[in-house]
Amino acid sequence: MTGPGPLGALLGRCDVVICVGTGGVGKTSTAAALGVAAAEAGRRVVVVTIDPARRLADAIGTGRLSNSPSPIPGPWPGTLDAVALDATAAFDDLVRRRARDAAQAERILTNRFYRAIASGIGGTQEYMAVELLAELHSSGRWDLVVVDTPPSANALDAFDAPDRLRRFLDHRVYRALTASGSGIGRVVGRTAHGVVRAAGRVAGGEVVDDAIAFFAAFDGMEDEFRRRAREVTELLRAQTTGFVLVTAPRADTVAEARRVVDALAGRRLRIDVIAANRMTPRFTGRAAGSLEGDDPGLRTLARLTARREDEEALLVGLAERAVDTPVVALPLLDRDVTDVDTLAELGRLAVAAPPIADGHAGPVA
Amino acid sequence: MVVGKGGVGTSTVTAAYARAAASVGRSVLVVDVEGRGSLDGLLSGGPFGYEPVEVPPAGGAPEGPEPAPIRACVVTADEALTEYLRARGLHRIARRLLDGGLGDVIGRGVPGIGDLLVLGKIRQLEHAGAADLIVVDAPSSGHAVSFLRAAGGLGDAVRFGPIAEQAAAVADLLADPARCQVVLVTLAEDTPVTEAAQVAYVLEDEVGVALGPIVVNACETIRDDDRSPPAGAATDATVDEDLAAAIRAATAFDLGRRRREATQLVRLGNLLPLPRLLLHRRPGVVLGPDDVVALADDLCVGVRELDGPTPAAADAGGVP
Repeated sequence: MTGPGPLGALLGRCDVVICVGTGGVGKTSTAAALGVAAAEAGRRVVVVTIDPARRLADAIGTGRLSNSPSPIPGPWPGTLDAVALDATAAFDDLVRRRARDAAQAERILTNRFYRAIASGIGGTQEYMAVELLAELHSSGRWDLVVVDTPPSANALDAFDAPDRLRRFLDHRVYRALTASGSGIGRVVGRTAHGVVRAAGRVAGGEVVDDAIAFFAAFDGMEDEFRRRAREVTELLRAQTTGFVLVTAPRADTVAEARRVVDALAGRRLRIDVIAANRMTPRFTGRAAGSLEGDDPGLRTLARLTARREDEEALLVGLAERAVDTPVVALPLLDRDVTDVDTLAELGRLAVAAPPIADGHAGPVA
Repeated sequence: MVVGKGGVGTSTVTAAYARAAASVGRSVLVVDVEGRGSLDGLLSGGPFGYEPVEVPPAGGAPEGPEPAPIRACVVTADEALTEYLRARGLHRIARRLLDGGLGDVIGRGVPGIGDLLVLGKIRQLEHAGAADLIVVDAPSSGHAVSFLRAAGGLGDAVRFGPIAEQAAAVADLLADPARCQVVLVTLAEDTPVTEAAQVAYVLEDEVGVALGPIVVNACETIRDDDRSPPAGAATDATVDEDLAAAIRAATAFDLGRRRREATQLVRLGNLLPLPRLLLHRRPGVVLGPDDVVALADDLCVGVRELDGPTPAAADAGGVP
């Protein structure tokens, strides 16, 4: 039974919910809390987390990395599973599944260039997160997949990962490298040839040799990768896929959230709800300026109220920018989010949180 | 190198470090490696670019000796790569190649090379004596470890050629505690403390870089005079019942946060036995140059306390 707030509505109508945002805003705990809330509403949910903080991972039973979901028992009518993405292992699996034969898989898996890519640099985590999401979604075992995305500096990376892979595979430099590695002696475009030479100048011939060997070994698999990347992009754009931008009341994260909102305006993806996490609770309906006096308790109340007002002012600016996107406030709890009970409490607050409108960030907490 | 998880205030601490060092007479070059403009609101004189520019002295300068100059610049992988290509006779096509996706392909295809080029540029600035102290606002800690690992990783993978030389020079810089130290930034909260400890051990054991004092940002309580009154303190008799309830709730919340902060500081001390510098939480959510000056004061006080009872101004003179 989901509450009346925008997040509750989103959990009710979507079969995929993706949490994006910069690091340090509580994105993982928000994703987990939404998962618990949906299980409490009777849905069969799987939560994909990425690099969860250890105590949170222990709480939701994903202390060890594994790409197969494990159930989290709890007093909810639905079911809840969780999985912590191991991007490197997932990428290895993918190569094994898509390779023509074991020998091709082996050539790729042992290539130094491949190892460097697969160990998480250059968007691999982002790509594997959406790839795993597509796999879990199509398995039919769950009605809702909630995904946490990697703590990238750029919240848009998760959206761009499939397209970036496709662009890379279509790139003339990639094609030039593959062609020159295949030994057919195809005529390589002059610019591409220059690029390969320049890459050798910069990185050393050895690196280029490794790269060429990798691309040669990859030969024949790129169509499948391209097709899959297209499918994943379609899933991201589906009506039943919801995006939650998690932010925190700090100038830098709100500025980043604003960039994301602006950047998405030009794409066929949209943020459905902006969740401002870790807001200072509001203790009184009065304005901080009206709370004057020497009483120490009153001074504390005035200080926290002023902080809440500053935080709300930041968010109102964001809400004005994101015209059709509701912004909801999730309060900073009086304890750390490291157990299922606290996740459940945060989840209940999240689904019930009303949108901030006209400068008021929800009712008195 | 100022390193911290996203959201702990790494850029703020970078700016405060620069002001603090300048205030004791050391010339400073601040380097932003992400180019997201995160220092622009914290140090006046921005937005900053690849060429270092002067940061004007902080407004309302306190009495005391004239601070040393601060300059700031942005060194991103693309710019470092352009300069690198230019230095190798490829300058005419460098820009075209970058526009044509070379940066992307080299960056993604040779992981770590962008980081290495950035670190190489920093080493070059150090070598050229660009300032007494270079303060680097490093990428957020998830990326910081791979950022600082780039030299070792590429050094292993590439044994010859210009990249190998670059990697060796950067590795020397990182391994020498007299030239380079990492200042970890964290908050007195559960997850940031855990992550700071993890990053600390990875940096020391795997990257081999020395750790300076750890900075705990946004503390409510540093000294006794920061303490808030105990919950249930006598409230003004004139307040109504609603307000009294709000005061009780706010005081309890505040006290709870302070208790957890104290617990986390103890935990941090147990996990990570490093000297530490505590910074006050600044009021307001958008920090500016004035906040940086106040935090620089906190840093100077903290450093004096770490140094013990020796005369505070010991290292102020001498350096230009």
